[in-house]
Amino acid sequence: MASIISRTLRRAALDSRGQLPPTFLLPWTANLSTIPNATEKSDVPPPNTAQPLSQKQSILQHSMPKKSETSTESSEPANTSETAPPLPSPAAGASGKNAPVEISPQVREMLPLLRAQGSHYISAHIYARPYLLTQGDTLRLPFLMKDVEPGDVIRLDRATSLGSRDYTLKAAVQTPKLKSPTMQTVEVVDPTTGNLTSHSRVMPEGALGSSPGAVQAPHFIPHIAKGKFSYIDDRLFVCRAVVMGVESEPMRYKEKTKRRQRKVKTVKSKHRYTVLKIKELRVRSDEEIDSGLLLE
Amino acid sequence: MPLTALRSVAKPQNGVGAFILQCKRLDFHYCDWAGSSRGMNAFLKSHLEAFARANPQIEVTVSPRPGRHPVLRGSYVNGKEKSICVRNMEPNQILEKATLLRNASGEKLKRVTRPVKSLNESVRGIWDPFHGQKYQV
Repeated sequence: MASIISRTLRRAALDSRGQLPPTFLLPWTANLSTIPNATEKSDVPPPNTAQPLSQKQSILQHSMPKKSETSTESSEPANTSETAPPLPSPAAGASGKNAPVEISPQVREMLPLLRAQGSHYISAHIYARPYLLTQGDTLRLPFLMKDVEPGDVIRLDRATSLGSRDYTLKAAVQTPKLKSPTMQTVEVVDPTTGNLTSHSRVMPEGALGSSPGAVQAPHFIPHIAKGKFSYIDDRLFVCRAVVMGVESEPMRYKEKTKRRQRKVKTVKSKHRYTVLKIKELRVRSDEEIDSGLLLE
Repeated sequence: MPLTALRSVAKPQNGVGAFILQCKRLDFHYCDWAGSSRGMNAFLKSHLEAFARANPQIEVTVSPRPGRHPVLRGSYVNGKEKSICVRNMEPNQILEKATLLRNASGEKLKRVTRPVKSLNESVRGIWDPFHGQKYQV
């Protein structure tokens, strides 16, 4: 514990940007933000190469040699990089994965407590659907997962909350939905009409982005539900699932009829589902997070 | 500190430590004479060796069943069997059926509405009015 405190103190002393809120504002049991104050992401191109299924899971085939997880940088919500002011941090700017991990000091402080306490639960998202899981749970996905075989190990790296009996690590709150500058008009008294007071609505003086503290509205991409959820930084935990096999349901029959006709059409359907078992769920220790996040 | 009940012995769960494939044996039955076995006979000649090599954990047996349709039969760890009649099927279709038997768990097919099944007790415990933050009326 002493080492953790000294580390946080050192970090606070070193960081020019490390402004902790007063202690009474620090959340004690919950609502820890995992989003660092400055992102190291800006100069690193999103290495989004080897993910056969989707961006939601990165698959580790147990037969293959374990390759490095590439989804770490890309898993961070996209809006944070745009909203957070790009302050220079001492550690950032170094290239890629060997740079020390930027994790907010509050999380640094509270994570050992979460780690120390017994069994954990996780709200993991697969294809944007949440599943509340603990270790040893059987998860029957509502679809057939392609390109997996029984025995494959999948890492679930998208989660919105992770907790134990008393502590919960939640994902950062979404950036508020802002209106576009045209909607944020201001009511002013029209100077041209003299003593006939008339009000008119005008655009605010500067555009939104011009003032330094302004927050840009996140770019809206409708077909990709981007920024729909924000996730916990996947360097903080490990959640692995084994593919157990494929299950199917009993044949479903549905009788389709039309009016004034004797013909009855029977539609048959039988879906197949992939079954996963949660093999491992744990919170990573400080040393693991610091030592380059890629020890698998 | 809440009162904890006596812990029971941990239940073995496949996949949490080691993973064991549930299908332990596949029987391939064929007939030399009948036309419905034509695809099956081609499968035995062309595909079976690669299939058996790719699945070393499954015992594969081939046996004749003269005068009958060709059948695949899988035996599972839980003691159940699944049989599929593969008459008049092409070798590729038979390979699909064999893969289906390999991936199956051996359980009876059931309609499941809840995606998560858990043996663990609730992590955060059951809500109790006398503990934690008292609710003020």
